[in-house]
Formats: sequence, structure tokens, C-alpha cells
Amino acid sequence: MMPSEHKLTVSVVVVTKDRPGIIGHLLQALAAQSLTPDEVIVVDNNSGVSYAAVFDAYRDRLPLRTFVETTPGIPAARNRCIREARCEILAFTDDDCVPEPRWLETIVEPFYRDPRIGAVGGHTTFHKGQGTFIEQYYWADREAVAQ
Amino acid sequence: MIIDITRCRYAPGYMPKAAEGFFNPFFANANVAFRREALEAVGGYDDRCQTGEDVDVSIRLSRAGWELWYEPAAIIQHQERYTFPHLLRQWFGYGWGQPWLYKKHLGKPRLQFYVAGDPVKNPRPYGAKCVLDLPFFCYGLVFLSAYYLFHAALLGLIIGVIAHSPITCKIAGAAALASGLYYATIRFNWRRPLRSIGMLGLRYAADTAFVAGALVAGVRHGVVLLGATRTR
Repeated sequence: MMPSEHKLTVSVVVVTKDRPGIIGHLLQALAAQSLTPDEVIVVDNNSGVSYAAVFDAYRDRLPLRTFVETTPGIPAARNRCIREARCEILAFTDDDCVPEPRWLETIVEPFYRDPRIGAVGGHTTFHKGQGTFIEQYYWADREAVAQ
Repeated sequence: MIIDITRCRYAPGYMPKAAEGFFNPFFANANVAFRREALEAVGGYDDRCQTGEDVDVSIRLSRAGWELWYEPAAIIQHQERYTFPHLLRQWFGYGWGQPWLYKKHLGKPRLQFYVAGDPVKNPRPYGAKCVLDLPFFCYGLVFLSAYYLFHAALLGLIIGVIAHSPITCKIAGAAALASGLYYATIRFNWRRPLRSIGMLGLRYAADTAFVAGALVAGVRHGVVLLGATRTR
């Protein structure tokens, strides 16, 4: 099952811009993971607002390392993540996402199975039709293409 | 090669290889993990990408010989509250990034026509099938879906009316009716007709935003790209 001898180190990496209000949900979910990440890298892509309060609230619960990337654009911010992250596996998510408790453990596991695996993708869902019509559409659309 | 953003049904396990077909599976940035060694080997993200950098990196990893593995049990939920402008922006953006990516990964200019493949019967490669591939003076891609057939037929109908050609009107009208009905009814729930009509409107809006994004960006890059719409 696990041909690799050693335990892989894991960085969770997130790019964020102007969303200090909702990134707390993500940090909360990362603190509750069944597999604790070795570090959590958050790259602020030149936001106009401060993340200090939300970062400080999670510093004692997560191995949090935060950076500011002034070059605009997602690719530059993600490359900054790659440069700053120190671990063997880099698990990317977005600032408006909430992973389930076993997300990290599940997405890392295939890397042990085969050294040729370069990337593992997970399943992303939306709010299940409890909100507005447009949110119901997102859900229904996702389900329809998954048939 | 085509980037198929319409399909999220992958079988768990190894994803099809980019080199095996024209269809390239990819992982969206919201929920993906990389082996550092692989990311560094392909040089990370391409900062020339305006959108679709996640598509680009998946293609390059796959072509460099790395395997992509899909693990549906690794679940992430989007918590953003979606709105109609968000839907339009999102699909315009998906369309916007594709012409440049197509040009980057195709090499020489070609005109290609695609139809939807059967992902269940033919899992590797799957998704889209190239039915015609010609050398051409510019980059062109047409995905033969009901959305484009419907609009082409409508255009034919208008031409028929202007040219006073009853035969053109009849043929184009029949084609518009058939493709329009297919597009409208493919996801229709007859027990909830009003809801289905609303959903149809949103799907049409998303498809149109996607096509508009690709056409506008295509002008800048010399690429005509009518990519895979939400309905085949």
C-alpha cells in the first residue's frame, strides 16, 4: 500500500485577495484536519485590506506563514507559494473554500502509492440548493455534468 | 487539443494522458495537491496566463510524463455566495483564457472540429473527439454542440428571410428547431417546468458568456475558438 518509506511533508498553500472576512472559515477547517499540515502558506496578492486580525487569531492553532506578493495575477502569486513552501507536497486551495476534515489526508495518500503521480485533484462542491436560485443552479449544473 | 471545462465526471484514479488524445483533463486550483518535484520540473505556473493557469500546469505535467490522479473523496466546499454577475464573470473568464492556451499548446495553426466523446465507453482518452483536423492559415477550433448548431441555424434563417429563399428558410428553421429543442430539453424536469426554464436561462447565459469571452480574447490572439459549451 505504501511503498514510500518516509512520511511526506505537506504544505497547504492559499492565495488570497481582499477576503479577510471569509478566509477564517478556511483556516478553521485547516486547524481541524485529520492530517495536520506541516505548514500553511498564505500569500496575500496585494490586497487593499488588512489580514492581521484573522492571521493573528490562528497563529497559535496553525503553523501559519504569511507573505505579500505585490506582482498582480494568480500565476505570480502561486509561484510565490511554490518558492516559499518548504514541504514535498503542496496542497492548494482557495480562500473561499472549506475542506472537509479528512481532505488533506485523502489528497496526500495517492502520492505514496506511485512516485510518478505529480498531481492529485479532489472533488469540489457548491452550496446545496438552500440559498438563492443562482446557488441552486450552481448545484444542479454540477450534478448534471457529473451524471 | 481542447480544454474541456464542462466535464467533472472523472473515474477515480489515473487521469487520461494529454498525449493520448486531444482532450486534456485538468485539476482546478481550488482543490489540488502537487508533488513539489513535479511542479519544479515543469517550471511552476506560467505567469503569462490570464485565466486557465491551472489548465496549463496540468497539461504540462501530463506531457512531461507525470501522472494525474483523481481522488473524489478529497472534498472541498465553495462557500462563496454566488450571484448572476458572478456567473457571467466566471464563464466569460473561462472563455477568455482559452484562445491563448490553445495557441500555446497546439503549435502550428490548424482548423479542428470536435464532437463530444463518450467518457464511459472510452475512458482513455475521452471527453472530446476530433473529427476533422486541417492545416489552416489561423488557429481555429469548433466544438460541434447544440449551442453552435442552433445559432448557425438561426443565422441561416435570417439569411433565408433576407434572400427570400423559402428552401433556405425551411432547412434552417428545421435545424434551429431541432437543435434548440435538444438544448432546451436535455436537462428539463417536466415536473418542475418553471424551475427548469429558469435553469435553462442561466445555462444559456453561462454558455453565451463563455463564447463571448473566447471570441473577444481570440481577436487579440488571432484564434477563432468555439469551445465546449455546457451542453454538448
